[in-house]
Order: sequence, then structure tokens, then C-alpha cells
Amino acid sequence: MVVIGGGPAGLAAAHAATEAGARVTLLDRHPELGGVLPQCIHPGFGLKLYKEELTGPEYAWRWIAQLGEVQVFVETMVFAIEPGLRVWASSAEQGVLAIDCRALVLAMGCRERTRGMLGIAGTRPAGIMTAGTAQRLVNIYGLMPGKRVAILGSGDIGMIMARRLAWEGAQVVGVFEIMPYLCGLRRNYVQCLLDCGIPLHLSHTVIRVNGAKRLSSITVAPVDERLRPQAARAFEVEADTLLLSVGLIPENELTLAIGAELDPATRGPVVTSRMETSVPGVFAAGNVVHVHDLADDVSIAGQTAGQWAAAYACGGSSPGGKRLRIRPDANVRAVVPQLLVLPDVLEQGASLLLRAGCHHEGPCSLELVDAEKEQVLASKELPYARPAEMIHWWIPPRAARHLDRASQLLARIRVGR
Amino acid sequence: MLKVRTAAGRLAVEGNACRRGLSYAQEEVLNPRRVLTTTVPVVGGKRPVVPVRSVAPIPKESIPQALSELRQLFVRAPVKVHQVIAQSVAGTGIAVVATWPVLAIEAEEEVQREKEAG
Repeated sequence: MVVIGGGPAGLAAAHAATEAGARVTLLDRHPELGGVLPQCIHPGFGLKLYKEELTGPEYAWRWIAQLGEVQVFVETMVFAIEPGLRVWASSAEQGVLAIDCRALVLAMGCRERTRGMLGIAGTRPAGIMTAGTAQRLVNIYGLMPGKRVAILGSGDIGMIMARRLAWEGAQVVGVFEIMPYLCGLRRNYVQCLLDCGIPLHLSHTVIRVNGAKRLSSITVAPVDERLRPQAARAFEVEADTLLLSVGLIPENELTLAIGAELDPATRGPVVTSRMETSVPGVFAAGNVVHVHDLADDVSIAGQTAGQWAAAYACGGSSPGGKRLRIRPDANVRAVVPQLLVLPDVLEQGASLLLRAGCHHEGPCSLELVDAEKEQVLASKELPYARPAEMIHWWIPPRAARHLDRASQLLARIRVGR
Repeated sequence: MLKVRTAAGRLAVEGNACRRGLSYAQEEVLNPRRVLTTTVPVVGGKRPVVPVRSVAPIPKESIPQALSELRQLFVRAPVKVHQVIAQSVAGTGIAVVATWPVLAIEAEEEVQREKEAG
């Protein structure tokens, strides 16, 4: 089988599939494995899987070291996948490669949203880049992107780079977030912004960038409840660098090309609880499916995809039995997996990852509802609902029995009693 | 939400979901510590810098001192994962180690063979 992408999802999938007896080829377009992890030099990785606090490079190194009998091609770009599963790739060393496989794992990850996707007015000066680009410049190339830095968006990479640049001697003037709440993890707000005395401005956005060759300032405005900038209350902030930490988009060109169904809510492929896409034999895991908060969760999804892909490659077919669709409903933005393979779930339980569509600081309940009968079939109490923090819901086999009655499920968050 | 009250020099922690939460809250109030990560320049390597970490969390107030000490250093390639870069930073007795390998430019193939040999 073939795994496309050597980040945390692809490494875990390749490792798990090899352990399960499959012959695996791993393809990555970068010169080294690990995906984004080698540039994520901060700690906080591995707390879930290894019960210790590793940095991104160390976490990647563990997975690379235990990879085993996997055939690896780096600096190799997949450009097409034919039905019947022939993967076309090219590299300077190998030329054009055509690899026939029985099963495939898509683990291409995601990319950052850029200035062009935000439509910020103003000039086109140097000094505007994504937070991940700045991270690569500083941590891999040892280059400082600027001296006076503003950050648009309170995503995790933005907050981590705020601290990193402050530590390297830059003046970080503030983080501006259009939403009324934080978009990254709480721990990053505390350990990156509070620790370094960097102000966070909620309900504020950048409406203009100024400067000829180099960025000289940004124009910031508060926004109203409907996120409309209040130009009358706008002010100018001096900065030579603007980092964008405004969201990530799953990278699904190959997924679309093989005709797999995409979920508009996640912008990734629709997957079953086996992480199989709508194309038989094609599995997917990690940020290509939906954007995760933690690399550990990406690795766990990769393991699941790798195990089932190996089972498929070693003579299986897609599972029979009932498949139950889950659709996001009130206060839920997205659910993964979108399809439960019922015989599996009745035997092993189900693990759901959900993104809240509302921000509520207080108890609420998460429910799975029979779409036709409006009957609650499973529920879980939550201490709060924050869009920035993925909700994990493990439904044990005993509780999953009730799901069998429905033909389609709705996932909801009920706020208040 | 984790809450810590201080009264008469004692701490009362509430809202923790597990025992780790309790010790985290106590330490965060009394003696906040962080794992320090940064990069150190590499001479003769395939990369200009190598990422490093303190092997254990260091006191928060020692971070500026530790950073300025690390800014004075450079290492010669090849650098191995968990190779010690500094024995102790900011007088803490806590070492700083590399977190990613950097191959040397000239001896690149040799290092590769050495790595494969274990």
C-alpha cells in the first residue's frame, strides 16, 4: 500500500500498516520526514501518547526512528492517482514513478490561509506572511522576519510565534483577533502571550496594510457583533511585519481528483469510522480530513487509517453491514467520522471528534439524535463549548447499541437546561 | 476552570479534573516553570541552526538569562538528537540538548553510514 505524506498522520499510518503486515511505500515532497513537526520546536507534543512533554522535532524523531520496514521516497511529489489505485509521482532522483497499490492512505495535511484569502486592503509591501512561514524562517533557516511584529488571528502558531519572536528580541505589539474569543488553545494564551506580556485584542481586525516596499504600519479596527469593522474607531499600529494566523485548510487536490466525497464543514473527505473515504481502498487521516488541535490526535487517526488500510490491502474489501451517517446540527460545526460502520461500533465502540459551532462558558450537553424520530440516543455532558477546542467523545459498545435504531444521526450541543 | 485561592500563605485549588491539575495549579502559582526551547547556530552543518530544549522545565524568571547564555553558543556539525549543547543554563543545573539531528556538509555520507550502523 501507499501512504502520501510523511507528517504525523502519514508516519503513524505507515508504522501501523507495517505492523499489521502490509508492505508500505511512503511518499513525501519534502527532503525530510516529519511534516511541519521539525519546525515546531516548542514543547507540548506527546503528552497524550507518551505521557511526557516532547518538542515537535523529538516527537517526529520518535516516529521516524520506529518506522520499520517502510520504503520511503522523499522529495517525491504525487501528481495523479488513477482508479484501480495506481499512484503517479515524480522526483529528481527517481524520475516518474508509477506505483500500483491495493490500498492508499491520504495524509497530505493542510496549509495556512493567506492574505489573499482575507482580502485586506492596502499596498503589497514585504513583511506580510503566514505564522508558519515565519516559524520556518526562524526555526529552520535561523532568520528573523522583522523587528516590530503584529499578529492577525489568535491561532496556535500565531501565539507560539509571538513568544518565539519576543524571545529572539523582536517587539511584538499585539495579537488581533476578529472573534470575541480565543481561536487557539488556552495553554498557548497563558504560556505565550501572558508570559511575555503580549496584549491580545479580541473583536479587532486589520482593515488595511500600509507601506511602500516594506510594511510600515497596519490599520486596526474594532468589529461589531456581526464582525463588521468600525472604521470610525480605527487606529494605526506601527509594524514592519504582520503574521497571519487565521486558520488552516485541508489540502485535498488529490482527494478531489480521485472523486472522493468532501464534507463542506471540514473541507476534508467524508470518512467512515475506519477512516475510509467514499472511494473503496482509499483511506485518509490527520489534517487532510479535518484540522486537529494536537499532533497526538493526528497520530492516533493515522494509526486507525493505517490498520484498516493494511487489512484492506491484505485481502479485505470494504466492510459490509449498516453505515450510519452523522450530520452536524445545532451548535455543532463538524463531526468526524461522518459515517459509523455499525458492526465495528457495536463491537469496539466509536470515537467521535466534534467541533463546536458556538462559544459557551458553562455546562452544556452534547447529543446524538435520531434524525427522523427526534429521539436522543446518546449524550455527554460538557463543562463548556469552545470552537477552539476539539471535543472528544468516546461511545462505548454498550451505549452504541442504541444507535442501531436510527437511519441517520444528528449531532447537537444543547446549551442551558 | 481551574481556580486557586491564597489565604494565610496556603493554597486552595478547585476545579481540577485530576491530580496533575492540583500539582500544576500549585506549581504555577508558587514556582512557575517552563521548558525552554530555542535554536543554536551550527557551523559546517546542512542546516544553519539546530533546535534545542532544556531537559526539564526551568523557572520562568530564568528564561531571559538562559536565552542570553544560549545566544553566545554555537555547535559544530554533526549534531545528534539529545546531544548536550550546554551542561547548565542560568545556574539551574538543567542541561540544554539538541532535538533534531544536523548532518555535517562534508562528512554527510559518513554520518549517514554511521547512523545506519546504529
